Amino acid sequence: MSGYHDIGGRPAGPVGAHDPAPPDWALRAEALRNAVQRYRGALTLDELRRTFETMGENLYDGLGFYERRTEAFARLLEEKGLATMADIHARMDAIAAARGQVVDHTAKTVGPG
Amino acid sequence: MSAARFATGARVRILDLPTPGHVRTPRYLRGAQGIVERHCGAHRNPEALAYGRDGLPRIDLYRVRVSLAELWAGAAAGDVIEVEIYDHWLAPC
Repeated sequence: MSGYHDIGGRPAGPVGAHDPAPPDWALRAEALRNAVQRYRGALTLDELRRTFETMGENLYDGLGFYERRTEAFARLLEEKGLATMADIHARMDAIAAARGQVVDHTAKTVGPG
Repeated sequence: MSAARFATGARVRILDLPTPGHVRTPRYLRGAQGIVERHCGAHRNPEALAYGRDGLPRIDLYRVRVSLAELWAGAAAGDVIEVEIYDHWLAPC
């Protein structure tokens, strides 16, 4: 039995040669996730993988690499009792509002307010 | 800690275990034969770590070299892929 993430060997067109640097938000998210992992021992990289491997194919395919990991991190924070998605969403809403933006938590997009 | 089951150079087959949940053996490698290129230490089992368990006892990890021709038609002769596979996913052959 294999998950939707297990795509090695399937046809997928030519491999792109571009190698963009991670955006700043992704570096901060990964640093935070690593800090929680290492200094709180609250979650493992294996749990992170398990989480994005089970978040559903639509979300997995629709989100980018760092978006998937950050979404999985947020879900694990709730699973481990360190935060709630409600609190995380409320904080996102506040940050977006300060920028004149609105978050769609279902579509996982940010748009003009 | 007991000695590793496979020596460098050992011929192994990658199994197609029905393990549910998180595993680290991709489907394109299931059933392939290869050679142990090196022992990569013993590590906590990621299949258990993925669910918050301690993953003990540690499991030997091996880098296995597989001929690409074994996996895909049209592969160039001599090309190989090396993948790190846990001991319980391997059988001697």
